Amino acid sequence: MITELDGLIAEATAETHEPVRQALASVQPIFILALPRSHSAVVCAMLGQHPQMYGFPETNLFCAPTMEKWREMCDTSRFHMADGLLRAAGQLLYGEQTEASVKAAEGWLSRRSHFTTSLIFETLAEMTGGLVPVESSSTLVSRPAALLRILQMFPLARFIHVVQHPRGFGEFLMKRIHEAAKQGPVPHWMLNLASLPGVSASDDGTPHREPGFDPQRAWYVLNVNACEFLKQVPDDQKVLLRVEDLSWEPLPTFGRIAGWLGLRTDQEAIEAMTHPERSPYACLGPPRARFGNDSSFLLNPEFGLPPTEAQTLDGPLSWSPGAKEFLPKVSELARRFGYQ
Amino acid sequence: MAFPMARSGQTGTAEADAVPLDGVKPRRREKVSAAPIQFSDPLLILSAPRSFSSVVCAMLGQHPQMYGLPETHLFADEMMDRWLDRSSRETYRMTHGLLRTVAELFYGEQTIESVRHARGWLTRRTSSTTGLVFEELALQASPAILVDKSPSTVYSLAAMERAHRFFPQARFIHLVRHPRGQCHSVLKLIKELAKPEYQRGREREVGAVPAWLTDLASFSYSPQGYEDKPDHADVDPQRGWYVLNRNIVEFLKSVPAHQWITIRGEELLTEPDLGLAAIAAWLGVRGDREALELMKHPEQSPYACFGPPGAGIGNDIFFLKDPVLHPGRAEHHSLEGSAAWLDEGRGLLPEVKELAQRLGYQ
Repeated sequence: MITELDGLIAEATAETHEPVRQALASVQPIFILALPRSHSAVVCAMLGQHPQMYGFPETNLFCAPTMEKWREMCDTSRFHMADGLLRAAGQLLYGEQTEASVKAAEGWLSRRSHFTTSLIFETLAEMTGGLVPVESSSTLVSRPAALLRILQMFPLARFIHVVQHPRGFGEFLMKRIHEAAKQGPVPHWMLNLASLPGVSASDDGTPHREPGFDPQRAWYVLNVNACEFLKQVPDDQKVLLRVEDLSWEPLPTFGRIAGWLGLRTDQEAIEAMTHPERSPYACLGPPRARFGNDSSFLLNPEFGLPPTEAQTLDGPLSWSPGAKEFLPKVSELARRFGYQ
Repeated sequence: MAFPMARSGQTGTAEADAVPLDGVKPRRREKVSAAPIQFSDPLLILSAPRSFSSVVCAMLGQHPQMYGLPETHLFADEMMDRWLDRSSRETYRMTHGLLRTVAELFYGEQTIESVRHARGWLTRRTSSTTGLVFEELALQASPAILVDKSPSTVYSLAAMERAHRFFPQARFIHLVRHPRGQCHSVLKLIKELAKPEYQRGREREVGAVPAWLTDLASFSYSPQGYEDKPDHADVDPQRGWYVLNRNIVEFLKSVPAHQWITIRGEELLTEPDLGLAAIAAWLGVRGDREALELMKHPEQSPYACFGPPGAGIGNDIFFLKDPVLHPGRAEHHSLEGSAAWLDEGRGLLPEVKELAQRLGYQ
């Protein structure tokens, strides 16, 4: 089991950012491992507002070994897979996110089709001027090969496993599906997430009403993916973060994260992290690269996390027509994460 | 000189370096303030061979905010290993232009030694895309706008599309020449290269009439309305003029209108002040008298001469022998009438005349 923040850095104080550790921190990226729709976008943007960190949008870079393969995946992807990287490249290389800068970024990436995806990430990270890059592609937890690729390419990378109570995750996902259904076809990936790993959603995006919907399965499978991967990561390079803790105690939690990373923990630095809306990626991008993050975050990037009321692992599931409860293995894993 | 050196003496301004940014400004504050616009988007001259591209490229390259390249042929391939592989099979000295460019830009001179360095520089980049090599040239020439005119680019839509994909905001000049004038020029070059002098001395590098030139003169194309496939061994350069210019026209349909223009070479060379000022205005670079005057001296280009052994050509040999602009030598041709190179009084093909008329010729 991954160490929780509290235990790992109990001794961290406001002054623990000695030069040596800071130098290490400045070159090793941070990866957020989280399920889609579990607030990783806002967490990434929050971390990115720390004066020594830089929050990227979802680059999805590590899904492929090379940029040529990455481009092929983007061309066949069911979601706007390239948008985040195009926005980041536009911003970092050309100073803004506009049609013109994103177009220029497309050329810049095309000329680097022979690069590994990791080298592209490194190149862009260097453009931040020494800030610690933070990445949170939600595709990571569904692709163990991508996680291994990160560890191979960045052996000293730090990982923050962001988790959410399975009830909160499931209810939020189902709510998003119902909201999306009112606007038109529900995104295919969203339907698949709700029915993973069981019944596949219909190809045309039609929201079906089959009993295949049970988001706890995706919650379990994807979190197990993250846990299995993190077994290979040294203890001092990984930490568990419950999003609910950010809601209940934002400033102390931010302080603990910054302390664990060996970064500034003063009031100014921590306060900055409460403003994810200041991220250059906390809004819709230009038409050529509109998304690159959870759309609900892009439309409402203010500091807002899951409901602060405590949720329980016991009792019927609101999305289950038969009033079923959590599977035992789900409850067990959730308890290991500290939920009740 | 063992190591690449920075190019000195650029007199361009930062204004020319700016990427045109016409979108909406970001509304979020950004703590990374650096916005490294690293180099200018290139200017690519698209033209069939024997269409004044060498002299026009050298002229534009003498503008204080531009840098004219010899023929790099980079966009004909996606990757450098393919480029190098193809260079060993081509019937022309495909590598010379790029070797001279690398020698000049990175090693400060074009000598036997610097060309050797350039060869190593390219070999070290065999796994790179050709676009990234071009980007390195652009960075080295920055803030000047690189001007490329490699004829191989227009032989396939894929090559032109590659150039556009690598540089989505590149500008393109479709440089055209009257089909009759271009055909005469092709035939004249064939005749010239057949002379014994091209088998001697420095000019030996040019070789005898290369296959690309004979292919150009007898291009593989079945004219419209011909029931029988013509004998492509027949010399009739208008077929090459037609196919290559049609390729360019087709490609430019996919390029935003503000990124390309068509220039008739005869008009530009007859009235260079007028034409060069128009091009400068379109590019958004200086159009003052000094800049225009500089552009009328293509012979000042570092590539307006034969290079050292191993990289002696890299451009049209007529241009290398006489790189001076001769504004008075205007050509006047008609689309009508018989063609001197054809028998039975045959003239230009209907599709050739139609395309030439679309390009402004009569």
